[in-house]
Amino acid sequence: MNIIEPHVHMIARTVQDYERMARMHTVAICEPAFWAGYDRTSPAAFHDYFTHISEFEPTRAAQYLIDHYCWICINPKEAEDVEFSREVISFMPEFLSKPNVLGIGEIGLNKNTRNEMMIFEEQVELALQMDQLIWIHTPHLQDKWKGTKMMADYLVGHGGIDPNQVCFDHVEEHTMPLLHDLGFWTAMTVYPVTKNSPDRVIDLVERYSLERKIVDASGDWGPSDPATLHDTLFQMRLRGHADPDVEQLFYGNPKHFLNQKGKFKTR
Amino acid sequence: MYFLHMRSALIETAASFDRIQLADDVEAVWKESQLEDLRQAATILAGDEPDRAARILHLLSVPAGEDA
Ligand SMILES: [Zn+2]
Repeated sequence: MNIIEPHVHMIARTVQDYERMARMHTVAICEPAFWAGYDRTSPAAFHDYFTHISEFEPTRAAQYLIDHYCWICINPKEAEDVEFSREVISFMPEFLSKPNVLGIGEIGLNKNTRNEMMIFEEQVELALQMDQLIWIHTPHLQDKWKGTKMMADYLVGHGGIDPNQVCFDHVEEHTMPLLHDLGFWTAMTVYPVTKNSPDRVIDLVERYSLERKIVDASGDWGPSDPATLHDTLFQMRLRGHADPDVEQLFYGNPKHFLNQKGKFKTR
Repeated sequence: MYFLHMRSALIETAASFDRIQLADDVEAVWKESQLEDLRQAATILAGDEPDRAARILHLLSVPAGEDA
Protein backbone atom coordinates (compact mmCIF):
# COMPACT_ATOMS: atom_id res chain seq x y z
CA MET A 1 0.00 0.00 0.00
CA ASN A 2 1.39 3.41 -0.97
CA ILE A 3 1.21 6.20 1.61
CA ILE A 4 1.07 9.98 1.27
CA GLU A 5 2.45 12.19 4.05
CA PRO A 6 0.49 15.43 3.56
CA HIS A 7 2.42 17.51 6.11
CA VAL A 8 6.10 17.32 7.00
CA HIS A 9 8.77 20.01 7.36
CA MET A 10 11.71 18.20 5.83
CA ILE A 11 13.89 21.30 6.15
CA ALA A 12 13.96 20.42 9.87
CA ARG A 13 14.54 16.66 9.42
CA THR A 14 17.52 14.51 8.58
CA VAL A 15 17.99 12.27 5.58
CA GLN A 16 17.27 9.27 7.84
CA ASP A 17 13.62 10.35 7.87
CA TYR A 18 13.51 10.17 4.06
CA GLU A 19 15.04 6.73 4.31
CA ARG A 20 12.54 5.56 6.97
CA MET A 21 9.56 6.98 5.09
CA ALA A 22 10.69 5.31 1.87
CA ARG A 23 10.98 1.97 3.66
CA MET A 24 7.46 2.46 5.05
CA HIS A 25 6.05 2.95 1.52
CA THR A 26 5.65 6.71 1.61
CA VAL A 27 5.64 7.77 -2.05
CA ALA A 28 4.82 11.47 -1.77
CA ILE A 29 5.11 14.20 0.85
CA CYS A 30 4.00 17.81 1.18
CA GLU A 31 5.92 20.54 2.94
CA PRO A 32 3.88 23.58 4.04
CA ALA A 33 5.71 26.82 4.82
CA PHE A 34 6.07 27.38 8.59
CA TRP A 35 7.82 29.25 11.38
CA ALA A 36 11.51 28.35 11.59
CA GLY A 37 11.68 28.51 15.39
CA TYR A 38 12.90 32.12 15.17
CA ASP A 39 11.58 35.17 13.32
CA ARG A 40 13.29 35.77 9.97
CA THR A 41 15.10 39.09 9.85
CA SER A 42 14.01 40.08 6.33
CA PRO A 43 11.43 39.19 3.68
CA ALA A 44 14.36 38.01 1.54
CA ALA A 45 14.87 35.19 4.03
CA PHE A 46 11.40 33.96 3.03
CA HIS A 47 12.39 34.09 -0.62
CA ASP A 48 15.34 31.85 0.21
CA TYR A 49 13.11 29.53 2.27
CA PHE A 50 10.54 29.19 -0.53
CA THR A 51 13.36 28.43 -2.95
CA HIS A 52 14.69 25.79 -0.58
CA ILE A 53 11.39 23.94 -0.19
CA SER A 54 10.38 24.23 -3.85
CA GLU A 55 13.76 23.46 -5.47
CA PHE A 56 16.30 21.82 -3.17
CA GLU A 57 14.08 19.67 -0.94
CA PRO A 58 12.55 17.81 -3.94
CA THR A 59 16.07 16.72 -4.95
CA ARG A 60 16.68 15.23 -1.47
CA ALA A 61 13.34 13.42 -1.62
CA ALA A 62 13.96 12.09 -5.13
CA GLN A 63 16.97 10.11 -3.90
CA TYR A 64 14.46 8.02 -1.93
CA LEU A 65 11.92 7.83 -4.77
CA ILE A 66 9.63 10.20 -2.87
CA ASP A 67 7.80 12.97 -4.72
CA HIS A 68 8.09 16.25 -2.85
CA TYR A 69 5.51 19.06 -3.07
CA CYS A 70 5.24 22.24 -1.05
CA TRP A 71 2.92 25.04 0.00
CA ILE A 72 3.91 28.73 0.20
CA CYS A 73 2.78 31.40 2.66
CA ILE A 74 3.65 33.77 5.46
CA ASN A 75 3.06 31.65 8.56
CA PRO A 76 0.65 32.73 11.35
CA LYS A 77 3.38 33.54 13.88
CA GLU A 78 5.31 35.94 11.66
CA ALA A 79 2.05 37.35 10.25
CA GLU A 80 1.90 39.54 13.37
CA ASP A 81 4.15 42.02 11.49
CA VAL A 82 1.73 43.25 8.83
CA GLU A 83 4.06 45.31 6.63
CA PHE A 84 6.69 42.59 6.67
CA SER A 85 4.02 40.03 5.74
CA ARG A 86 2.78 42.10 2.83
CA GLU A 87 6.28 42.23 1.40
CA VAL A 88 6.44 38.45 1.55
CA ILE A 89 2.99 38.11 -0.02
CA SER A 90 4.13 40.36 -2.89
CA PHE A 91 6.54 37.70 -4.22
CA MET A 92 4.45 34.63 -3.46
CA PRO A 93 2.82 34.52 -6.95
CA GLU A 94 6.24 33.75 -8.48
CA PHE A 95 6.34 30.53 -6.42
CA LEU A 96 2.65 29.66 -6.65
CA SER A 97 2.95 29.29 -10.40
CA LYS A 98 5.54 26.49 -10.07
CA PRO A 99 4.32 22.99 -10.95
CA ASN A 100 5.24 21.48 -7.55
CA VAL A 101 3.69 24.20 -5.37
CA LEU A 102 0.20 23.05 -4.35
CA GLY A 103 -1.26 26.24 -2.90
CA ILE A 104 -1.19 28.67 0.00
CA GLY A 105 -0.35 27.18 3.40
CA GLU A 106 -0.05 26.64 6.20
CA ILE A 107 -1.76 29.96 6.85
CA GLY A 108 -3.90 30.47 9.91
CA LEU A 109 -3.70 31.82 13.41
CA ASN A 110 -1.25 31.48 16.27
CA LYS A 111 -2.46 33.71 19.13
CA ASN A 112 -5.67 34.75 17.35
CA THR A 113 -4.67 38.42 17.05
CA ARG A 114 -6.17 41.07 14.80
CA ASN A 115 -2.97 41.29 12.72
CA GLU A 116 -2.77 37.54 12.23
CA MET A 117 -6.39 37.53 11.09
CA MET A 118 -5.80 40.41 8.66
CA ILE A 119 -2.89 38.59 6.98
CA PHE A 120 -4.90 35.35 6.95
CA GLU A 121 -7.68 37.17 5.07
CA GLU A 122 -5.25 38.75 2.61
CA GLN A 123 -3.75 35.36 1.80
CA VAL A 124 -7.21 33.85 1.34
CA GLU A 125 -7.88 36.62 -1.19
CA LEU A 126 -4.65 35.82 -3.03
CA ALA A 127 -5.67 32.15 -3.12
CA LEU A 128 -8.99 33.11 -4.70
CA GLN A 129 -7.34 35.43 -7.24
CA MET A 130 -4.83 32.77 -8.26
CA ASP A 131 -7.18 29.78 -7.95
CA GLN A 132 -5.13 28.07 -5.25
CA LEU A 133 -5.88 25.41 -2.65
CA ILE A 134 -5.66 26.52 0.99
CA TRP A 135 -4.01 24.59 3.85
CA ILE A 136 -4.84 25.96 7.30
CA HIS A 137 -2.87 25.65 10.54
CA THR A 138 -5.17 25.78 13.57
CA PRO A 139 -3.60 27.18 16.76
CA HIS A 140 -2.07 25.08 19.51
CA LEU A 141 -3.63 23.96 22.79
CA GLN A 142 -5.80 26.55 24.54
CA ASP A 143 -6.03 28.80 21.45
CA LYS A 144 -7.25 26.12 19.04
CA TRP A 145 -11.01 26.32 19.54
CA LYS A 146 -11.25 30.11 19.38
CA GLY A 147 -8.93 30.38 16.36
CA THR A 148 -10.67 27.60 14.46
CA LYS A 149 -14.04 29.24 15.04
CA MET A 150 -12.73 32.65 13.91
CA MET A 151 -11.36 31.25 10.64
CA ALA A 152 -14.36 29.01 9.90
CA ASP A 153 -16.77 31.90 10.55
CA TYR A 154 -14.75 34.15 8.26
CA LEU A 155 -14.57 31.63 5.41
CA VAL A 156 -18.28 30.81 5.60
CA GLY A 157 -19.23 34.49 5.89
CA HIS A 158 -17.01 35.38 2.93
CA GLY A 159 -19.42 33.72 0.54
CA GLY A 160 -16.89 33.00 -2.20
CA ILE A 161 -15.00 30.09 -0.63
CA ASP A 162 -15.51 26.48 -1.74
CA PRO A 163 -14.97 24.41 1.46
CA ASN A 164 -13.84 21.52 -0.72
CA GLN A 165 -10.68 23.49 -1.58
CA VAL A 166 -9.75 24.19 2.03
CA CYS A 167 -8.17 21.83 4.55
CA PHE A 168 -8.01 22.65 8.27
CA ASP A 169 -5.10 20.87 9.93
CA HIS A 170 -4.37 19.77 13.53
CA VAL A 171 -8.06 19.02 14.13
CA GLU A 172 -9.09 17.28 17.38
CA GLU A 173 -12.30 16.14 19.06
CA HIS A 174 -13.53 19.64 19.93
CA THR A 175 -12.96 21.21 16.49
CA MET A 176 -14.01 18.27 14.29
CA PRO A 177 -17.84 18.55 14.54
CA LEU A 178 -17.92 22.20 13.37
CA LEU A 179 -15.52 21.70 10.44
CA HIS A 180 -17.06 18.39 9.37
CA ASP A 181 -20.55 19.89 9.32
CA LEU A 182 -19.38 22.90 7.30
CA GLY A 183 -17.94 20.63 4.60
CA PHE A 184 -14.26 21.54 4.98
CA TRP A 185 -11.51 18.96 4.63
CA THR A 186 -9.92 18.13 7.96
CA ALA A 187 -6.47 16.78 8.72
CA MET A 188 -5.62 15.12 12.03
CA THR A 189 -2.05 15.38 13.26
CA VAL A 190 -0.48 12.56 15.23
CA TYR A 191 2.03 13.88 17.77
CA PRO A 192 3.67 12.14 20.70
CA VAL A 193 2.16 14.52 23.29
CA THR A 194 0.47 17.73 22.20
CA LYS A 195 -1.92 16.66 19.44
CA ASN A 196 -3.71 13.37 18.57
CA SER A 197 -2.61 9.83 19.35
CA PRO A 198 -3.13 7.09 16.72
CA ASP A 199 -6.11 5.81 18.73
CA ARG A 200 -7.81 9.21 18.87
CA VAL A 201 -7.42 9.70 15.11
CA ILE A 202 -9.15 6.42 14.37
CA ASP A 203 -11.84 7.27 16.95
CA LEU A 204 -12.55 10.47 14.98
CA VAL A 205 -12.68 8.62 11.67
CA GLU A 206 -15.10 6.07 13.12
CA ARG A 207 -17.33 8.84 14.44
CA TYR A 208 -17.23 11.29 11.54
CA SER A 209 -16.57 8.94 8.57
CA LEU A 210 -13.71 8.82 6.09
CA GLU A 211 -15.23 11.60 4.10
CA ARG A 212 -12.84 14.54 3.61
CA LYS A 213 -10.48 13.17 6.29
CA ILE A 214 -6.67 13.23 6.09
CA VAL A 215 -3.99 12.12 8.57
CA ASP A 216 -0.49 13.56 8.92
CA ALA A 217 2.45 13.38 11.31
CA SER A 218 3.56 17.02 10.86
CA GLY A 219 7.21 16.23 11.48
CA ASP A 220 9.10 19.41 12.31
CA TRP A 221 11.89 20.68 14.62
CA GLY A 222 9.94 19.80 17.80
CA PRO A 223 8.93 16.48 19.36
CA SER A 224 7.37 14.71 16.37
CA ASP A 225 8.02 11.63 14.23
CA PRO A 226 7.00 10.80 10.64
CA ALA A 227 6.48 7.18 11.74
CA THR A 228 3.43 8.14 13.83
CA LEU A 229 1.54 8.29 10.51
CA HIS A 230 2.31 4.62 9.93
CA ASP A 231 1.53 3.80 13.59
CA THR A 232 -1.92 5.20 12.94
CA LEU A 233 -2.34 3.14 9.77
CA PHE A 234 -1.44 0.03 11.79
CA GLN A 235 -3.91 1.01 14.52
CA MET A 236 -6.68 1.26 11.91
CA ARG A 237 -5.83 -2.23 10.69
CA LEU A 238 -5.70 -3.59 14.25
CA ARG A 239 -9.24 -2.39 14.75
CA GLY A 240 -10.34 -4.50 11.80
CA HIS A 241 -10.93 -1.84 9.17
CA ALA A 242 -10.88 -3.14 5.60
CA ASP A 243 -7.83 -2.45 3.44
CA PRO A 244 -9.69 -0.28 0.90
CA ASP A 245 -10.78 2.04 3.76
CA VAL A 246 -7.25 2.19 5.14
CA GLU A 247 -5.96 3.01 1.68
CA GLN A 248 -8.59 5.70 1.25
CA LEU A 249 -7.53 7.46 4.45
CA PHE A 250 -3.77 7.29 3.90
CA TYR A 251 -3.60 7.56 0.11
CA GLY A 252 -6.88 8.14 -1.74
CA ASN A 253 -8.18 11.04 0.30
CA PRO A 254 -5.01 13.13 0.38
CA LYS A 255 -4.44 12.45 -3.30
CA HIS A 256 -7.94 13.62 -4.13
CA PHE A 257 -7.69 16.80 -2.08
CA LEU A 258 -4.17 17.69 -3.19
CA ASN A 259 -4.72 17.03 -6.89
CA GLN A 260 -7.73 19.31 -7.31
CA LYS A 261 -5.61 21.71 -9.39
CA GLY A 262 -3.94 18.90 -11.34
CA LYS A 263 -0.46 19.48 -9.87
CA PHE A 264 -0.21 16.50 -7.51
CA LYS A 265 0.76 13.80 -9.96
CA THR A 266 2.07 11.10 -7.72
CA ARG A 267 2.09 7.33 -8.20
CA MET B 1 6.79 21.36 32.14
CA TYR B 2 4.49 18.64 33.46
CA PHE B 3 1.32 20.30 32.21
CA LEU B 4 1.46 18.99 28.61
CA HIS B 5 2.06 15.40 29.68
CA MET B 6 -0.71 15.55 32.30
CA ARG B 7 -3.06 17.11 29.75
CA SER B 8 -2.20 14.42 27.23
CA ALA B 9 -2.73 11.55 29.70
CA LEU B 10 -6.11 12.95 30.79
CA ILE B 11 -7.37 13.46 27.23
CA GLU B 12 -6.15 10.00 26.27
CA THR B 13 -8.06 8.48 29.20
CA ALA B 14 -11.19 10.48 28.39
CA ALA B 15 -11.01 9.33 24.75
CA SER B 16 -10.70 5.72 25.93
CA PHE B 17 -13.89 6.05 28.01
CA ASP B 18 -15.64 7.54 24.94
CA ARG B 19 -14.39 4.70 22.76
CA ILE B 20 -15.70 2.07 25.18
CA GLN B 21 -19.04 3.82 25.49
CA LEU B 22 -19.44 3.88 21.70
CA ALA B 23 -18.47 0.20 21.26
CA ASP B 24 -21.09 -2.34 20.14
CA ASP B 25 -20.73 -4.43 23.29
CA VAL B 26 -20.84 -1.42 25.61
CA GLU B 27 -23.56 -2.94 27.83
CA ALA B 28 -21.30 -5.85 28.65
CA VAL B 29 -18.25 -3.81 29.63
CA TRP B 30 -19.56 -0.47 30.86
CA LYS B 31 -20.31 -1.70 34.38
CA GLU B 32 -17.30 -3.96 34.62
CA SER B 33 -15.49 -3.61 37.91
CA GLN B 34 -12.24 -2.55 36.25
CA LEU B 35 -14.01 0.44 34.74
CA GLU B 36 -15.59 1.19 38.10
CA ASP B 37 -12.12 1.10 39.63
CA LEU B 38 -10.91 3.62 37.07
CA ARG B 39 -13.80 5.95 37.82
CA GLN B 40 -12.94 5.72 41.50
CA ALA B 41 -9.30 6.40 40.64
CA ALA B 42 -10.44 9.57 38.89
CA THR B 43 -12.02 10.82 42.11
CA ILE B 44 -8.76 10.16 43.97
CA LEU B 45 -7.00 12.16 41.25
CA ALA B 46 -9.39 15.08 41.59
CA GLY B 47 -9.17 15.23 45.41
CA ASP B 48 -6.81 17.30 47.57
CA GLU B 49 -5.28 14.44 49.58
CA PRO B 50 -1.63 13.57 48.81
CA ASP B 51 -0.25 10.15 47.84
CA ARG B 52 -2.58 9.89 44.88
CA ALA B 53 -0.39 7.45 42.94
CA ALA B 54 -0.02 5.06 45.90
CA ARG B 55 -3.72 5.21 46.71
CA ILE B 56 -4.70 4.48 43.09
CA LEU B 57 -2.24 1.57 42.98
CA HIS B 58 -3.75 0.17 46.19
CA LEU B 59 -7.22 0.58 44.72
CA LEU B 60 -6.09 -1.47 41.73
CA SER B 61 -4.27 -4.15 43.84
CA VAL B 62 -5.35 -7.51 45.18
CA PRO B 63 -5.35 -7.06 48.99
CA ALA B 64 -2.34 -8.69 50.73
CA GLY B 65 -3.00 -12.04 52.38
CA GLU B 66 -5.82 -12.96 50.02
CA ASP B 67 -5.62 -16.34 48.26
CA ALA B 68 -4.85 -16.18 44.57
ZN1 LIG C 1 3.36 22.39 10.07
